Amino acid sequence: MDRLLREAGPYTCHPGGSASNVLRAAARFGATTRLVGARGDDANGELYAKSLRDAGICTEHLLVKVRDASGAELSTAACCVISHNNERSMRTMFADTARLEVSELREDLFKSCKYLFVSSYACYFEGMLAKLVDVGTGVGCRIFLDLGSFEIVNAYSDQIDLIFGKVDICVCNEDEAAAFSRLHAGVQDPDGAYDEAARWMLGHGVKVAVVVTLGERGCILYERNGDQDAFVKTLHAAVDPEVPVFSIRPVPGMRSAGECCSHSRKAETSTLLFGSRTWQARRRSSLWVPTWMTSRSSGSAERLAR
Amino acid sequence: MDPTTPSFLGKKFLMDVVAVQATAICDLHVTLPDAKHATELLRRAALGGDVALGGSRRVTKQARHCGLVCDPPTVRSLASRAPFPSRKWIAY
Repeated sequence: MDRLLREAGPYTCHPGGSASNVLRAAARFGATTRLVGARGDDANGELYAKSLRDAGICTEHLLVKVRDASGAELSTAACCVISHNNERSMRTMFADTARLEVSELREDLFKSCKYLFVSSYACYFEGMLAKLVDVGTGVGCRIFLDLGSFEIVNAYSDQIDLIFGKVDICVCNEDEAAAFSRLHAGVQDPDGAYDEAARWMLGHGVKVAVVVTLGERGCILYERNGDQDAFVKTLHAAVDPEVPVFSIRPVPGMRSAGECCSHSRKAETSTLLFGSRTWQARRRSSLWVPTWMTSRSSGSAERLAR
Repeated sequence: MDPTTPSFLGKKFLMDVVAVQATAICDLHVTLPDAKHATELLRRAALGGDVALGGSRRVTKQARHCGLVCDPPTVRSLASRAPFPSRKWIAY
């Protein structure tokens, strides 16, 4: 693969994973951020940690693991992302990678944090997702869940369904929403799948909102309206259809983020939307900045808005 | 709980956002000019045993268009097992 990559031309190496994307975006907006996880004692691990630190993210709880219990050497996971036309997906091999264990999830890692971001990829590690949500809510964190992948939805819906009652905001893409609707409502029609997915999630406990991202077409925001499964639905389209809402290319600065949350009725709904799959959305006329950040980070907001 | 309630706003927070990534991951990004180049690279990697190729509906369609066989059941089978046992890279 190394040889093929060289033949393919220039490539770049970046910290991957939705968690690091969320934190980098949030940090750009002036939020204080921390990553909890594990890496290997190798070049990729160093690059990962340094990049996060350079972005202003606390890596105090990014553990460095050299060997597992059996003495086998551990490494930092690497994922090759091959793309064209901004379409890509990827999978990483976890066999010998350093990882955080469920037993290492402690309350003090999350205490006094406003938001806890979790991805359904945690389902790959038995008991991880439920423990994360339990520990986070136990110390008062609000929970932001990214469904991760349609395969995760298909394979681990039993685990995911159990935590919706503790989730504040859930984000998923088209494939994940469609898979969710097929599983829970028997909906095969793509046109109705997103509404049904949101209705089911809100009806089963998601507290604030569900977001379905639509790639270059923007996203749909479903905000809870009342106690049951009723919602207010708004479509946030891409400003410029020639420019994809999502791009895997590094975006110089995060000033373009925020379009998808700029018209949200509730600031709370929007606080983290910029940090997940909407983080590279292009802005409209002005940058929307969460109110909980502007109260403390107005300087940062002004700088970003220029 | 309404996020604007005093009980939420009144709390003292030392950190705004904490995110958990059980395994740190470095992404090697390769952007190619079209689907044919991308799938050719994957095909050659697959022949070398480094890559198991699968894809979303769009990616699969593109790969098939370029003559690359994508076997969804195989991919689903791989996806159902974690960690993946033998491949160094799994592009998807």
